[in-house]
Amino acid sequence: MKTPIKSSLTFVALGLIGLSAKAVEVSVNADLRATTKLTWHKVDKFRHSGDCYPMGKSSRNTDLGSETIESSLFLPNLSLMNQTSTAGTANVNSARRAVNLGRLSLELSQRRDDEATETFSIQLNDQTSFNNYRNIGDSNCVIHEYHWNTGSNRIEGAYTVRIKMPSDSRLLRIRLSSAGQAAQIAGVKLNDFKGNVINPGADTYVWGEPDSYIEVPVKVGVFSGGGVQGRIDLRITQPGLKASQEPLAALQSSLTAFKAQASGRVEAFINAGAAIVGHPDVARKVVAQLGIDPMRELNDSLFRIANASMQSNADEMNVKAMAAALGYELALALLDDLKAFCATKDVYLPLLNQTVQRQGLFLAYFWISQSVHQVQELKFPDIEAYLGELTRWENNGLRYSDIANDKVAQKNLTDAYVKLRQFTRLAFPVYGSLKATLKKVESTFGTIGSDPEAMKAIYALIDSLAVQQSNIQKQVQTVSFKFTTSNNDPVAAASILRDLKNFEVETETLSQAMANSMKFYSLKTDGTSNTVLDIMTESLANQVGIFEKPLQSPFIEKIRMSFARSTRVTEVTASYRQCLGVK
Amino acid sequence: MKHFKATLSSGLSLGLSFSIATAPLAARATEPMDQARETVDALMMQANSLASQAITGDFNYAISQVMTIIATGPEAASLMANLAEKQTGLLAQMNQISTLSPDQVAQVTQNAFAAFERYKDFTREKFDLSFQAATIRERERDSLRVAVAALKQFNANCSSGKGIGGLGETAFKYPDLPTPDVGFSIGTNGFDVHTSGTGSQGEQNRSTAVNMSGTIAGSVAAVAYLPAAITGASASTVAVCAAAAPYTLGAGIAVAAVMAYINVQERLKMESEISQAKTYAFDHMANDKDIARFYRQQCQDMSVRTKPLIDVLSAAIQSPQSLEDFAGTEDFVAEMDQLSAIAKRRGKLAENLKALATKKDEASVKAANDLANQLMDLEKQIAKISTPEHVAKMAVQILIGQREELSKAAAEHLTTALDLAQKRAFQTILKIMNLVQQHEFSKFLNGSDEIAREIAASKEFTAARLMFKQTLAIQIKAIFGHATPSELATIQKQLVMKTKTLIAAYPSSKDVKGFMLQVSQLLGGL
Repeated sequence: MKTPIKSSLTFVALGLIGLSAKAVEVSVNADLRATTKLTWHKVDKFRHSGDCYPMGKSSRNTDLGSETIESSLFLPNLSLMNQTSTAGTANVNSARRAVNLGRLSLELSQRRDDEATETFSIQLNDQTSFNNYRNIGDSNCVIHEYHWNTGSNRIEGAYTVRIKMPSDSRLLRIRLSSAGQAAQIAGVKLNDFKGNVINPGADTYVWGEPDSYIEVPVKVGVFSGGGVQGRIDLRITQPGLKASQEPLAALQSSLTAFKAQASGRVEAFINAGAAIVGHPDVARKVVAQLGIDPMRELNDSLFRIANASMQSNADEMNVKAMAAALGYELALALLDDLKAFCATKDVYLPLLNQTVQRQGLFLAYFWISQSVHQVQELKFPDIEAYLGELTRWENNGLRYSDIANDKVAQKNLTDAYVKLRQFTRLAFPVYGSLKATLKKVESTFGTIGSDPEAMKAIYALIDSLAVQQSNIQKQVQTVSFKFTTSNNDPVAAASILRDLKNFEVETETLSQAMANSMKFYSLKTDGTSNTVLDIMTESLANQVGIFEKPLQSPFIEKIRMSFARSTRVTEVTASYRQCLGVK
Repeated sequence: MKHFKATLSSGLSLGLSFSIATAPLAARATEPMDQARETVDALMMQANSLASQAITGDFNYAISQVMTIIATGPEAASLMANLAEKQTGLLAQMNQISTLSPDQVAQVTQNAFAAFERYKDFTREKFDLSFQAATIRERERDSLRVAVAALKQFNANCSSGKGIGGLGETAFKYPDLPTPDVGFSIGTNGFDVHTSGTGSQGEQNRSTAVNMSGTIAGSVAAVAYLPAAITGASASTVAVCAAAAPYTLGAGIAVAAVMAYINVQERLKMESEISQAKTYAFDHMANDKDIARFYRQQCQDMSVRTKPLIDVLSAAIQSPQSLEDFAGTEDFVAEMDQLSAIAKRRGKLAENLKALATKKDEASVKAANDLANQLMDLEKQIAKISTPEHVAKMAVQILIGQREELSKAAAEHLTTALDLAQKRAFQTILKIMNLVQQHEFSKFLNGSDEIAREIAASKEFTAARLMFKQTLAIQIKAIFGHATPSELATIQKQLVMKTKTLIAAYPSSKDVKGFMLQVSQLLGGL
């Protein structure tokens, strides 16, 4: 049975994160036997008439004994097959009298409650008649009445509801309820769920491998009565589809709700988590959206929740499991990206004019060092010297024409400007080169490694500095051309000098911003406080470490097993050792 | 308040008594149809009696299970003590990591990784322990949930006319009704009504606990369920029947079915009437549905009566801190002892009653009557103690006692200490791993590596380019007469030297060559 999720709202939400909703499939496997015990009784009635029995004749009552009817309802795979309901039936027939006493049926139906929730109902119907039935064989003189009395009709056996985990889901919320004379169905117990059922009860989260089956065995102890119905309802929600926000935003707001102890935090967190765990692409995107500090903050939050103890109830156990699973998946995504820092790569060294192979971590340091050096070049003592002289003229109250009419001063001005113009062009390629280096770093080390917002700010600052420098150059040019004999305006260069000083202050800002946001890429010169190494160590030791080997607690061990990715862990561990220079 | 630590044995059932309304056995009429109706009525009464026994057994079973679940608990105390021990060990191990000397450990890289792996193992164990603690708590709550579920299921079963069948025991089966051989016959001794019971087999199939209720508590309960209006010999007769062979009809009907004389002319008519009566009786015999109907009728008030207990258990799940509000002041230990004594006596009396059941002499009937009366007295005493409210308070006492044991073993402070130790241990590990990398990085920084040389060159080149600008600045200042020739000469000399050094160091670099040309232009040659 496939029931595609078609809610437009869901599509919008999933579109943001690139998820496609897979349907929950439910089928039923039933093996039920009905044992109907009845007794037969025949009454012969004699017609009191001249043609038949003129003297009369009393009725004759004959006990025809008992009969036991065995009926079977065997349904190896009752599934919906694109329908909303289907049923299997078995007739209860008397072989002795060729009478149909009724039938037994098991019906499976489905309805959608919302974009993430479907309800599957399994209803057992006992439609065996307990009422007497009179099969009248008539002749002219004798009426034969055949009576039956159903002493009991007992249905025993079991059916199993099989819930197939969607291929993109590891967690379902299953609410089991009963309706009608459901107590006729004995022994429906979530304790018997096969799969990683963690919270036996009426409302439970069930963890499992994608495409695996969760089986709900239903024992039908004695289902008896005739005309009764017993139904169980399984309301199944895919928590990952409940998120209405973009995954990272949903996760962060649920964590905020946790800090505030807000109501609904558990469901919000589970929903947000379910939209990420088991979806490597989503996990990678979430990681890519995070800078250093938010990533470490998220790691801390998840690890704290995962390790919370003592006060746990069932919901909190799910939250702990989700936090651990989420931390594991995000850490693996992060470590996957960080592998670039540990892998070797060719790099061209322009000054040595050589191409060498080095570990990514060193390359990052190299490229960032180059960028920092380039920023340090954004100082202009030459322009400052030129504008300094013009400002002195301004401060002395001179006019442009005063200088133009002074041949010596005019010559000095012209010589200085020509020299300045000739040689300041050296600084112009810095911005493009700087951006190119940063882009190269970003492309080499993936989207991870820097706060995207901070990086945007850095690029914007670089562009702004380029514009500012260009403006200063233009202003220098403009003011230099104002020195004519007819221009009696006072010399005005102080404002340009101020702009230049402001520009140099902003280059310091850029330098600082790069140091702050790019440190993820870089090593400090003493090799300490290396953020790449710190976060790798933390992720591997904590987030990945807790799921790396088997655990004693059965509940979390089952979940761990479904998430454990030994190959990936081996890869990121090898990468970590490589980063540390250990073979 | 004296806390009650329950030690309910599996042999103890707490039953609640209640009354049912059944028609008294009236004097028998003589017409066949009337007798047939009486037969049907008797069968119905038997069905009613079976329903009574079923509901008593089920309720006893449910309540016994609930109390056993609560009393035995999840063995939380020992589990928690074990947890505390593990936590203490882990704390010591984490602290050991914290005291490692990072420098010494980092000197040998493999030692560093061994420390790293140890940290991971301890972290994993700590994480694992956090679940074990949660699992213990959860198991405790599960017990309560199962108990509540059992009671709720009992109520649900009541309303649908179905026995309990939950709690992991063999599903309840209706006690089968006898298949009556309604052989009305005519003779000077009147009608004989023969019945043959098959129900005992069905009863045998019930779970052990229900069976227990059915044999001991059930037989006594059957006496208690007799309408108050039935007294004396009738009561004792029916009681004996019910107690000794609850699923056979026998004497109750036989005693009533008497006829003095039927003449031959009436015989045909009578036969016809008998035939009709048989048909009527056949058509109206009690079956499963009737038991279910009586079952439902008799337990209509059960949900009301079990509600206090469900409320208490639900409160224990939702907010254990409010349990004291439900607790009573009774001495439950004494009451439990009293209840046990009554139960034993009751069982003995029931056995004696059963022994008298087959005897029909006057002395035996009288003795049975006395025993039945004694049993009814005991039943009243049990009923007085085992009200749902009383049972609920008993459950609370047990829960409070368990919680105290749990809180003693919980050792919350260990968790906090462990958290701190883990953080310290992690910081140590971080230092160690940083030192390992620093060792690696130092090789990179010592200048022999090409990248280190390139970075150093880049630094030099940047300094040279800045010197270029400073030289230009001095030149501009000199143009305006604000720099001395010696200043200019000095910086130009420095720039030349720096440029030559660069060229010598990086002769093949295009950037350096380009720079050299710029310098040459600025200075008019090198």
